[in-house]
Amino acid sequence: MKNEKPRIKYAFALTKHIKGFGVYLFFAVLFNLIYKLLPLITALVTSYLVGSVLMGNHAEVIHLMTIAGVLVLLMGAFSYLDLLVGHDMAYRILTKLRDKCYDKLDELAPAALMDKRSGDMISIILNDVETLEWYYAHTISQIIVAVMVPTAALVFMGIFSWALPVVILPFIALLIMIPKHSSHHSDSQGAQVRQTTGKLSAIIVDGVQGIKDIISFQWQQEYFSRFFQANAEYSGASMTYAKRRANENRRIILLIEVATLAAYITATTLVGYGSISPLWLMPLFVLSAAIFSPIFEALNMSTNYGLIFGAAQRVLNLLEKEPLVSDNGKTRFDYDGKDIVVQFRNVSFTYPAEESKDQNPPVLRNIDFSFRTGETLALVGASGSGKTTVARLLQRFWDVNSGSICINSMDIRETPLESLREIVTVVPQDVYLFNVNVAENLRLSCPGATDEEIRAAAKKARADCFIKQLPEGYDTIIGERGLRLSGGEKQRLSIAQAFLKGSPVLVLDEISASLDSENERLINQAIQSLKKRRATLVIAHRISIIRSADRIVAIKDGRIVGKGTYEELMKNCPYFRTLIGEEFNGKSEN
Amino acid sequence: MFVNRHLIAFVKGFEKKIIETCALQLFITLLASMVSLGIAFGVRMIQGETRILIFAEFWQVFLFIAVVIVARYVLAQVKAVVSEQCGLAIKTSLRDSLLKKIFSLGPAYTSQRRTGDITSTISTMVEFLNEYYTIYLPAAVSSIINASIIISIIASFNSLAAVVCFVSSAGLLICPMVFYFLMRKRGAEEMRMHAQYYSDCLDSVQGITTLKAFNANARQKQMIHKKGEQLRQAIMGHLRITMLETFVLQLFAGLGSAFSIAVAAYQTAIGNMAQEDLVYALFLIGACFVPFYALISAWHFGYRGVTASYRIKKTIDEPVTRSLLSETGINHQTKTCVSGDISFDHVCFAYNELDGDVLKKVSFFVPYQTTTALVGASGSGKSTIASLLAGFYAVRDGVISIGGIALSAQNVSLAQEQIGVVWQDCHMFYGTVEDNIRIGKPDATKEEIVQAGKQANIHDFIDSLPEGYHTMIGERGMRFSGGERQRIALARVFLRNPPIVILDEATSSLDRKNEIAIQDAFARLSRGKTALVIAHRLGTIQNADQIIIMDTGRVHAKGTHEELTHTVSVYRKLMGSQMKVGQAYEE
Repeated sequence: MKNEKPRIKYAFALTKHIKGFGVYLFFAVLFNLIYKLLPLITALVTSYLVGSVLMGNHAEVIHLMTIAGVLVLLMGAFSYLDLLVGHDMAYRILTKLRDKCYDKLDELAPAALMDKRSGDMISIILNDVETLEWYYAHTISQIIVAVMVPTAALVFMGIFSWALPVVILPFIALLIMIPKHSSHHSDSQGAQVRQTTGKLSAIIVDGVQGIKDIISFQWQQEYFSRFFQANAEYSGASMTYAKRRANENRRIILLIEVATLAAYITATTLVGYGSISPLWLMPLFVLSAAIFSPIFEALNMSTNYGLIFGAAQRVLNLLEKEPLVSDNGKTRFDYDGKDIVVQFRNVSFTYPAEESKDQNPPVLRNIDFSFRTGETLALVGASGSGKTTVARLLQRFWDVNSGSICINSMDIRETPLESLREIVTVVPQDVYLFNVNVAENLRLSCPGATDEEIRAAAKKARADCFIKQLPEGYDTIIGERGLRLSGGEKQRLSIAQAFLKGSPVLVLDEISASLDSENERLINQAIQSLKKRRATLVIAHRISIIRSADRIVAIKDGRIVGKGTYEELMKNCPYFRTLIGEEFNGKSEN
Repeated sequence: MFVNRHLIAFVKGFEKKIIETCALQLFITLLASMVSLGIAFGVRMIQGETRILIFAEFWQVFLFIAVVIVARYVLAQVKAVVSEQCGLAIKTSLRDSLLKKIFSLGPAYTSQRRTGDITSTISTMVEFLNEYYTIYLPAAVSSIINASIIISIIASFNSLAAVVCFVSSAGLLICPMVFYFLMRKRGAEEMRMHAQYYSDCLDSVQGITTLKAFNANARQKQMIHKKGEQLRQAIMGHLRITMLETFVLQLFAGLGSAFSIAVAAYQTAIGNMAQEDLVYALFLIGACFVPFYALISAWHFGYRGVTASYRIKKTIDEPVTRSLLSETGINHQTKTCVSGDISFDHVCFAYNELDGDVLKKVSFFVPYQTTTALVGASGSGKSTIASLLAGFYAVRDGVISIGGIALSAQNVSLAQEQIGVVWQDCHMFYGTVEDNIRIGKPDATKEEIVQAGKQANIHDFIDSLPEGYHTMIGERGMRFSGGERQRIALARVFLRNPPIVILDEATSSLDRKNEIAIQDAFARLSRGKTALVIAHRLGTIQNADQIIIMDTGRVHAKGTHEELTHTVSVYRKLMGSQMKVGQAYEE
């Protein structure tokens, strides 16, 4: 399985994120240590008490009982402290990790995530990071405690006789080897479980978002069977993991029981031979059992390392992924009302191939055109001819393979992404609206906009009229993905956003104006007003929009086949004529 | 111990598996106790006891212990497999119920909620339940029974020690539920923040292109960070009470395991208990409380199980006024209607009461095998008519009929069977192009799919892709343009070949050549069928047999193109600029 690293590497990578929490870690380990020592001490006290009573020595009974009581109270107190500090630290680290993961997704999207599913990605931020809680809240202290407490106990036992530690140590060595032995399986199985879980989430998201189509095509059965297949894969992975884990677990328990018995026999024999006073028989028994408790806990957690490191793998792989576009530009655009010229200079581009897939066909070849402030350039071509790609390249969601895109003679790669996106506005084909109210969606484009400015922009976009009629007007929350607005309404909101943003370069990507012509007329007016004093690129199909452009560029199969005004192209470019078609010469098909 | 009536109800149908799991865990726990007992026997023998129960020699006791250890070893694996199977069975059943419920409720439910919430319930909450049934419940049941047996034995030695044990055990069991009611609010808050954080992240990632276009992604990052911090605080607020409870549990456990031994020793010292019994007491008390310690570590599985049960129950209990899921199975062979006409009779409809009626007494009739175009301003009710016809919602008033049969809650599948729809926001599923077209008819042959592709005028495009029909469509069809997605959706309908078709014609995203071709294809498709088009193109409108003009939820006018042009000013206005441009070319 690719990207698998040895566990130690994961442990180091994960531990790096504890940076800044040193004090927390120290106290977490300290409290855990005390918390794990207390039962040992308590057990010693009570067993010593039992021993003395059995020997007929009743003098210290009350005394020891009181000590036992105090120790019980302390155990309670330290259990609280241990949990508090350990989890507080862990969740602070997790929150930071989540932030980093989200930031990374932000950096990568959309280009580097084209072949990924969002449900799966979010599963990383939520579920995989959550799994790491075990590591941060428990594993580190557990391992430290699992080393220190048995050592202390063994040393204490050694005071009575060297035989005891000698008998016990080999078992401890055997115990430690158990997780190492199956770590390879544990990790790959853990990764499998996490992966199938992510896939299951993604299928649910797909089904819920596509429910209309599923229902209207009566595709439920198929969808359900897909879901249950994913569920079955997940169940299979889960079962495999559980079996291996249980097997590991029972071997650990068996070993511990045998070790304890061996210690008991050793202690009994020693007492029998008179090397140790019978007073200490009970305490030594108790100590033998208690040595293994922290080791058992650490080992128990280790059977889950598979899941933990599976999650770690997904999280760390995400954090290490390189974006396709690097934000290295230094020169900001100083937009001060000057004229702007946007140039595509001999641009060629192919979408990068997915992992282990063949190369994609080139989308753009030697594209060369320009447009300036006050001018509208229309890009026309068949569906899939690369027009939308032009808009994406201008926003630098991808970088060109050859040639360059320049604004006022500066290559857009030389400017910070944020600066570029400030001066370029795209009104997209698919409008994505967020699950907040209308005003907030509009404010996305211009965060400091006042209510008046928002309303003015909405009026210009001919959106104010329908917004006012919504149940709470501008405060109406638009449902997920703006579902409850019609297509035309979404489009107008998008235009309002463009007005608010007010950037000098405008790209209108195949705006599907709603089609009652009254509205189309209004939207065209809105767009005319939007285009004033901007450099506008229109990706168009509607004749009215194409006609109203100053110049047109026709693209076929990724190459430019015609440039000029409408009339020029109608005369000189046969492809253009085909595109425009026979719509107005012979209206009906029958 | 954590339990409520929902958790008990979910077990229905799996009682045998749960009992098996608990029984196995019980045996394992009892076997562990027997090991302790065996060791106590051994110690007594060392101390001089000559005969205990059936054992006369030390080696016999040793053998007994060995056998018990091996038995436990064997049973442990059996239990793990059984409990995992049990958990998987319950999870699968719950997910099945939840999905069916959601598909029963349909868009009426899902459009009101965030995808993240629904996903969280089906995937995460159900997982929590799994751990409840496979880890927590067996641990709880076995520790209770184990403790009961041991405490009775100890009671025969000395009542005070037994009482201390009993009080501790009772405290350990009762405490969790008492604290639960204190914690419930914070727990619900944590789950709520969790679901919200999930939805916010999902929303942001799916809309990242828009965010970046407006340079809003940096701000969105800040917002997400803030939400992450809020989630952390909700988690900690909840954990703090949890930890308080652990403190109390720890006290009870310590009281039981340590203090009771001290009490037993004391009782022996003052002569209320026999010395021999003290040895047994020491080991038995240990055996009594070890399972409780395991239960304490499994505590948060119990807790999450209870909380998840409330959320799952809420979804499962969602009332279904009209089920969109047919019980009798789906019949893919669409029947030809004797008279597949569509009738809306004084239909009134509102999505919810607050927003008011979206359709007001809408009446119209679409005769069989004719094409009707719906036109009107955005929000005038056109898409709603399509949704109602597809049976997604129930009308408040009035009747919708297909082929003379009125649509009702009982025959929703009637609508689904007769209709094929190309929605404006047609969803592309994660899968290949072929998969997506195959939605129209799951058992279609490759030839049929290719044929449908040709009819929808998408075949040439697909053929030009390196992997043809096996090309993967990324999430939500992001790698394909709007026009391409729509043609794939159209191919679905061609494949399905239903008697009634609905097209939401946002075709202005296609270029001229394809627009004509699609119109042509749709005209071909509509021949011999009843077609309802939410029309955008002049050509479509003009060629329709009937045009219905919608205005703010009412039918403004009906008629053919010629009739309306001459009589209805609104129509002329709507068609206005289209006609002008057309006229310019006629000259």
